[in-house]
Amino acid sequence: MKVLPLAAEQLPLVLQELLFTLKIRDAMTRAVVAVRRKDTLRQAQDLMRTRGITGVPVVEQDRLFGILSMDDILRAMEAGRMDEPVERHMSTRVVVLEEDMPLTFGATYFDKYGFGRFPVLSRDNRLVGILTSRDVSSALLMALYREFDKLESLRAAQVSPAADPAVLRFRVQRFDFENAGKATHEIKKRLRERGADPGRVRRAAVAAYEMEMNQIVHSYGGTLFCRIEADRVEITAEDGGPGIPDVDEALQEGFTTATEWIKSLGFGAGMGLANIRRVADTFEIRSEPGIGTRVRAGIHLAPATEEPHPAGGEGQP
Amino acid sequence: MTQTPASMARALGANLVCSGHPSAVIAAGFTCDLLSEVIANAPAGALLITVLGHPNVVAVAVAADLPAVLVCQGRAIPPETRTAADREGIALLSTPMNAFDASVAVHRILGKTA
Repeated sequence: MKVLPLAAEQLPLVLQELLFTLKIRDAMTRAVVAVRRKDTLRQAQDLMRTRGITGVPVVEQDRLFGILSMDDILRAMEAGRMDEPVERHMSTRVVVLEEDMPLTFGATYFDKYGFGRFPVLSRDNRLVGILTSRDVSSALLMALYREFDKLESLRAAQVSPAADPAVLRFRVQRFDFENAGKATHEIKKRLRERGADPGRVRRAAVAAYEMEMNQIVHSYGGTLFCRIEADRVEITAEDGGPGIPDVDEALQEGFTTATEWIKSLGFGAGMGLANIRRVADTFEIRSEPGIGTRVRAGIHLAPATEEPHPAGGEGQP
Repeated sequence: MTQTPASMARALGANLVCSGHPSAVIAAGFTCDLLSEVIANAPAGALLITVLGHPNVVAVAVAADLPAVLVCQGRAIPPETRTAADREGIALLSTPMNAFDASVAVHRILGKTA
């Protein structure tokens, strides 16, 4: 088997970042074709032929009992034992991966063990997917597409980013609760240094923090951009997926797709996007399922004559 | 009447875990465990009354200009939270009271009229 060229230190920085954000769950095949322990080898062989696969896990009620490969079937065929149950021929010493592991880690398993596929377990030991080397390469390719797409749209959006020192850029990683708020903190500091009105600074901080949290909780990771102009600050959050199927629904207060453990941390109340829209003077959102989401909020820094938010934006219905 | 984190801790009989910014002043209270709700609605200068002890509470306090956080119900405050609070100058108080009783007590100490 060819070694997957994933020695991270030799890769360009952007690829390293990309690989770091991808988890096994982002690449694995979720609809797992499986057999049961009492199924015969003949049934298993039929299944593998019709589905075009070279190995199946042996599973009952989400519990993994073993794995049956084409080799096992060939050996049984030679011995004329095709009507025996799968459990007699399967391998029970199965090397598994966990869905939270980084994909780079999973990729090393193919070389290390020489198997064609690895069952993927959840934290509570349920079988949730299967990872093949093909899954790894297509996930990387998809992630690269998304990254290039993002780079292109950025280049289009920014006229001369290098010449503009007022643009801040922050990378946000999925589930990185530890660093949540760092970008917000930095943005706030810069705005304060420029002597911006505290009420406006706070509104910018609210928008930035909600964007950070949205990317941490819901996206595969993304980037926050903050452009500070003389009379205005613009904060943009761009992520590489999974995208929002129904943006209008997501904008409603209380709508949430957060899991219980995220809620137990005090997040996922379904207020994020609604909060951003509320504090912003200009707001736009674009989302494409499978591609990603871009949220942009603009806030005036000096009270303009045509003031859209009474008394610093607080107390709106 | 406004309070400093230290005077608030004394009046509440709460434990002052991190002392916060030296010039911190508590002018109001806000009781909630949903951080988005906090960030949206807590008035600047408020003491955040919550049962959450994880470090994101500090990040929210920083973003929303809240000088202090009162962790109720005797919930554990992990060392990461203390480190973050010390770094950001956010005061951390801890009390065995539940959030309701703590809110009433804070209300009285701040001399708010019901």
